[in-house]
Amino acid sequence: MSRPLLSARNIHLSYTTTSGFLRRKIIASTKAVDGVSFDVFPGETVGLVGGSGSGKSTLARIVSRLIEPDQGEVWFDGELLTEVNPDRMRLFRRDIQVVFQDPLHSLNPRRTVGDSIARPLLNFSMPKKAALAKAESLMELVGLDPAATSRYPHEFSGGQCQRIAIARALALEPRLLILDEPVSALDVSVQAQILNLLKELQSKLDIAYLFVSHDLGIVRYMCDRTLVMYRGQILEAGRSNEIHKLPAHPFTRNFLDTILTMDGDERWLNAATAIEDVEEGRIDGKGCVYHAACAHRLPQCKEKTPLLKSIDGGRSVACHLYEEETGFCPSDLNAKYEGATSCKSKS
Amino acid sequence: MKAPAAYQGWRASHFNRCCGCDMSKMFASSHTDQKTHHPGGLHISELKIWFDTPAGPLRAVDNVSLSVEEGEIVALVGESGSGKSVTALAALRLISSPPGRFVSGSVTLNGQDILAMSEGELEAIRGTAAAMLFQNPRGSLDPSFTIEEAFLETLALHRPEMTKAECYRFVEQGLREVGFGDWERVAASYPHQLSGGMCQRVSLAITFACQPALLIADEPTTALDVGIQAKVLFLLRKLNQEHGLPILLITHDFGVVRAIAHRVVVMYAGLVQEEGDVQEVLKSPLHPYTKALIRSVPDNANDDEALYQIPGVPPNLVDPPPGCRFADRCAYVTDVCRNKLPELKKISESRAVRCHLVDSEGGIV
Repeated sequence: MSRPLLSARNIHLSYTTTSGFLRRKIIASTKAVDGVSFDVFPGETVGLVGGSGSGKSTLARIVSRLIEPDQGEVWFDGELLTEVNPDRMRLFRRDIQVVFQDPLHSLNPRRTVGDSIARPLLNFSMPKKAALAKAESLMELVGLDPAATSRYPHEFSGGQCQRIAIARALALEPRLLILDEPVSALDVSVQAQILNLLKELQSKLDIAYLFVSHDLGIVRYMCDRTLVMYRGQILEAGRSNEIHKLPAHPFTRNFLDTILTMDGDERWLNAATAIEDVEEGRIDGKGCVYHAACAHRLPQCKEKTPLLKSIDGGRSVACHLYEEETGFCPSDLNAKYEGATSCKSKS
Repeated sequence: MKAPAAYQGWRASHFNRCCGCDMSKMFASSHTDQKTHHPGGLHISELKIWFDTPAGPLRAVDNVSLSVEEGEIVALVGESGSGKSVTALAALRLISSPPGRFVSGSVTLNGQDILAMSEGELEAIRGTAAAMLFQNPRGSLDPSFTIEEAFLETLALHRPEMTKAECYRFVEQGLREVGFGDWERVAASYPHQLSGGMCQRVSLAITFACQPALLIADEPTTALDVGIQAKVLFLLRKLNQEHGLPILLITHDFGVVRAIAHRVVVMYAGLVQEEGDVQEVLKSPLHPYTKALIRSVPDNANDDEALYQIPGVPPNLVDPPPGCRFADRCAYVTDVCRNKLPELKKISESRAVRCHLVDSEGGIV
């Protein structure tokens, strides 16, 4: 396979709560991202899924260098992004662009949308006339009326604003687009429009997407590969379709169950009652982050941190259930769900 | 105003559980001054709300009738701009005037006429007679106060009889109830230190602390992840089932409707388009707009199909089209649809639909 466009290696970041005015004391510290590594290859879509507070947005911000990690390396196209000088970083900003969750807040209300879209081009010294002309063609690219560039963000609906934010992110022809929950603030019917637009743009422009979302259904629709995060760690990684069909980690199974479906089953209700208010219960950062809430926990889950390791079919999972001697496989986890047969009965 | 008996009972047990003292007496006394018993719930009838704009009045809510009976969860469904949030805000008269204008109709909350009340009287019932849960959780928390301070302020305002120690216990219990194991850290945090989902659970806890007789939830789970969404919906359903709390739930997601609502009212462009029992509407949606909304929920069954999207945009409500307001986006549009606004036809006791293509028995013409 080709060289990864983006790779993150062993990223750590803690948020600390301090108290006191002159002598600031750290009273609490939360590991937002805890030793995460992953790659994004050119032209592919990688989904980053997790619940609120799982560190997925923080991780997206770290790889776009909007915030600095405590520890770890981010490589982009063969260069160590975390250590390049500011001038060089400025050039990389063209290659990595971000689309945020709230479309109305990410556009300047006092600027016409044409100005907003042209702003990154002007920053990289494109003549004003050419930049505005490019803004118009970008508006067309995202399915809006090019003549509307002279209007202001409040004159557009949420879905249209998100299209404008996408147009602005595409202005510098980036190679990687970081989409931080781009549709979760939108109506269901508009969500579909934006997702279809993003897919169409990717096939036209050949950009890689890092797609941050809390919705496994959307991620499966959008992404080639999925990384499932919980409390700052990646618990499972693999092809989106396979994760959706046959999740390997107990957390992923529970997370999938919480999706509301139209077929009338009440799986979400059981899943919701299973999300107990458990404290992390880890001592000195050892043990599995999910063990306290896990229905399948083993004695060692509390003491030993499971490492992300490969199981069958290009999947990686961080779970003690998959120790070699037990012969456990994803089908066992999903035994009570339709279409899953135990792998033991096969052999 | 008197809370439903079942709910009062819940309040009593709730208090006894949380602090061990006999708060139920306190509760009883606070309600003795109310001599007359009013029917509970929310009743909106033929409500028209217009917003004055430079281009003319915008008919945000047009002849909407809606009721939430005791013990019922009613979902108000529609996309942005359909008037669903304005309808909900009208229940507590939270619409600033100008530019908003109540043109006609009535709003009755627990038997009291909301539109005739003074600002002072409204202040007294907001939060207790009906409480509101908003979509943007960060926007409803003051960024310069910690969660604990915000919580205590609300309790001081709505529950002045509680002592400080009881309030602190209430904070712990409230935060635990919405799933915070590490509630102490959350209580000491400022809103910006919490994620969106955490902020929403905090405002949920604060809303519950006021112990409202009616809950209006305006897209409470739209910005949340599915896990927390399930948790919040579970909490709402539990409050409704165990204590008869009536809920007006505003959403655009039929997945949410199916999960917890009893009845559904579908709005589009300021008008009620279809209403009925949730199971019935889901089984056989009659209005093309309802059908399209149900179809746009991402389905797990079909793998590689492109997601269904409703073409076009909603009409301008300053100058709405003369015919059906969904006509331009409708797949089944006919000539009569473009010229004549269909009536809201009653099909059965609970079912009504506004479409030329549906006859009075619910059959397709």
